[in-house]
Amino acid sequence: MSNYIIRRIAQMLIILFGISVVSFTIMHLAPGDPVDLLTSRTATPEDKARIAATYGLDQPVHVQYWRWVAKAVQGDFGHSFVTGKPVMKMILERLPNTLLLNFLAMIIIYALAVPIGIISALRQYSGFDHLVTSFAFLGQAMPQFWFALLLIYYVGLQVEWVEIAGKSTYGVTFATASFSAVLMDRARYLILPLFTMAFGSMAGITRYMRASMLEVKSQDYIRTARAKGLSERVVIYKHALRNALLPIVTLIGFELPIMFSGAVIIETIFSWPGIGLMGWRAIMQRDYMVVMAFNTLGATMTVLGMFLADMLYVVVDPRIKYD
Amino acid sequence: MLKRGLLITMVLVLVMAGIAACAPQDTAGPDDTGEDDISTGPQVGGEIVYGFASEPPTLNSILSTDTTSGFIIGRVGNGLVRINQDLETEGDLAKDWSVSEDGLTITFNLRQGVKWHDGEPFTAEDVKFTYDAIMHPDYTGIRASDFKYVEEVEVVDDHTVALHLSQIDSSLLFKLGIVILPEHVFKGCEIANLKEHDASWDPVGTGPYKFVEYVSGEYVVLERNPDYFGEGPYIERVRIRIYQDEQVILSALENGDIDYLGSVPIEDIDRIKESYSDQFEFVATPVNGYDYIGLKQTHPILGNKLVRQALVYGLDRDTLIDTIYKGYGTVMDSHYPPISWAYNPDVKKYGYDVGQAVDLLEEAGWTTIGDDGIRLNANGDRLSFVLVAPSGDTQTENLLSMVEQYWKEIGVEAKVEYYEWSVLLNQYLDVAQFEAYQCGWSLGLDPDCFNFFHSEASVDEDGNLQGFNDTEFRNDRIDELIELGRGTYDQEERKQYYFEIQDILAEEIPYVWLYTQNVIRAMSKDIKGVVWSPLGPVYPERWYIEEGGE
Repeated sequence: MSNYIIRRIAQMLIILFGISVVSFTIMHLAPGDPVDLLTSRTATPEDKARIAATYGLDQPVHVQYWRWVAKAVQGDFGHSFVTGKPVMKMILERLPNTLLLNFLAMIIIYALAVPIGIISALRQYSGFDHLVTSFAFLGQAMPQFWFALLLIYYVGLQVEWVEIAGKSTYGVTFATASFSAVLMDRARYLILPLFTMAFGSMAGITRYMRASMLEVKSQDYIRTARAKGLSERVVIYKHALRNALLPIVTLIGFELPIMFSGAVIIETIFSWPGIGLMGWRAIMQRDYMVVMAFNTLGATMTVLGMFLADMLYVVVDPRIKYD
Repeated sequence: MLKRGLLITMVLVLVMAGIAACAPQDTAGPDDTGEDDISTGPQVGGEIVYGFASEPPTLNSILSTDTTSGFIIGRVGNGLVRINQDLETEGDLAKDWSVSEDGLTITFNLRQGVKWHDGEPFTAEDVKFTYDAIMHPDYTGIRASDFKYVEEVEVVDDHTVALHLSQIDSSLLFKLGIVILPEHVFKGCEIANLKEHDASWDPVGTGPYKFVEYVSGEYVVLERNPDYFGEGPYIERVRIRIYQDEQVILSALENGDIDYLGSVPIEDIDRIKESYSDQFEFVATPVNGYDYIGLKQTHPILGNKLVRQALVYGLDRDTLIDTIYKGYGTVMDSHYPPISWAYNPDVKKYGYDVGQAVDLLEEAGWTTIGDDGIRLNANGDRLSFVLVAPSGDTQTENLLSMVEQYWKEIGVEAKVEYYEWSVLLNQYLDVAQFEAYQCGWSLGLDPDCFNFFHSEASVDEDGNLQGFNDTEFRNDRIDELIELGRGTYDQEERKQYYFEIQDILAEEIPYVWLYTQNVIRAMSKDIKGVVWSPLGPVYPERWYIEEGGE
């Protein structure tokens, strides 16, 4: 097993290295040049050359890449061309906000979708099942931004307690107010974005859970368990469930990179100060250092997420062994 | 049964009335009494909240280029001069100034007793440091060309600074509104690394508001500077909330979260005015800039003046404004918008005249109309060209689809292509490789237009663009007039030169001048003492909130 882990880690590092090369190349191949965006239109070629030299953009691409890698492995991802701030600092300022939102959303989605999916499978074709299925399709079909705007106008603007933008009320922090007051304040800002995210994604997970449960339910070993005289409860909640949850475990592994990527649409509409929009803007502004840091973060999280999912499988599924 | 139903209905009605009464009324102020507020005059206190849709990329005055940074920097710091409500320069950190006989030295007498927010005294060294940084070869910002004719910044004494020029540049004065940096804070920092210095994110200034904090993606907070050298400030705190989308800022306005909006989206103007006129004052202000379609002067088709004039006659710009901007705009006939002091109201005007357009095109040799409705000349060439434009803006797309239609009617084919901004600059505009393009400019307050129309602002022998004159417009008389306009400080004399420039431009049509937009600004009625210039509200340090308001 430890052999396997070591091999995996080596593989991950190679993959990350490869992704960084591809990202860097694509970024430099894309039309548009940060120097143009940083200088005014009256800049002379000498001005532009000077700015390019300041940011190391005058070097050949492979030289720029090696410079970047040399610093990146030490944790230094450079400074943003646009803001001048250290890139890691910029990301760390906003990453916790994205993580908070995505993490809470994930908990809500799974906490609701899994039981609903199970019940839906057990009562297949019942009124409950049909209701759930309809909502699921509705949630998936509805454009997220449209739903978000509806919520803003019909709930946010009407109910004073519900806030429509931002993360917190100025001045209400853990230092200045009681713990519960701060929690209540944060809740006011979280409620609409979480609701939007949950409604859209729950559909998928619910259906997935339902399908998985349905498949497991009709397996031979379930019939065997019943034949052995086990109570229905034990059959369903111990044996069937454990097996039906396996695909969900894979999904959780994939959640990790998604959690770090930031939902650009949600963050835009609710002005949630996350990294999603920051990454998109960096691309538009050709802020190479920020874009590379982003890609590296995303790649690392993806690779780690898959590794985590594979490890979880060993825990959850006794049939699986790595050597 | 009936009685019960009636009872339930009454209860429902009462409940709904109750909910309606509890609807958010955050911006309700004491003005609801209906009587004129008996003003007790400015009082200290309160908070004003703004909403911006973009984050400041830096808070360093000599490196910033966008409105959000400019807004913050303008409250935290001061320049030598500033703009008053009549759009003229008045002294800010400079008490007064004098110009030498030969016009080559401007001496500024600075205010005494001004302190930086950290307590250090403001002196002429700070002015020298700031301007020297801009003129430094390692400077990474865009304002170097403003100081093109400044040879030396001389510190005469602690409170006197003299600028020595290589030639008279009357446009310089307006540019000295740039906020001064504290020399003692930035001392020792490499000019190339200014942007990365801590004080570029935590600015120290001399202004009415001190910088408190910037929480990335959320808000910027400024607080009142009680030692400010000028009148006020009264409002205790300025909070700038960062939003990510224009539509959301509007919702925030409706929700009572912000006190001022610089531009109400056009589609919502009528609705907002109707629903919120109790809480907000709405003022229409023109923008200091305009939209245009640039035409390459060296192009085989567009190089002919008759064709260019025809293109303008063939456009119904009034209808364009009514359709796209709901009437909130003014047709532009030449380079200067009506608010400029150099604006010439009597230039040649081109109304919408299809007949005239067709006559001009025929005179230019485009006499035959092909099967596809597009004109042909004697050689069989089609009257067709490519028009590039920035992508991602619905108004631009609507505008250009209408323009395509209008021109099709007179037999002209404009093939519109949209590109992302950085690609548009990199591959078309900055290398001056295009046939026609649509864009807009934002102008400074001084009418000097060297960068726009002088032949030296065009493409040089190596093919490099030296200014904004990417259409390669070259006119000897215009070059002369621009140089004359720059070379004197006498405003009346300068006006004559700029008047003539506008006449020539209206005749030559290097650009199809489209229109200048009027934006609707909304200011909460809780904010008192607001003075309006033609471009927007000024003197924010004099505004105040009355007790009982937010």
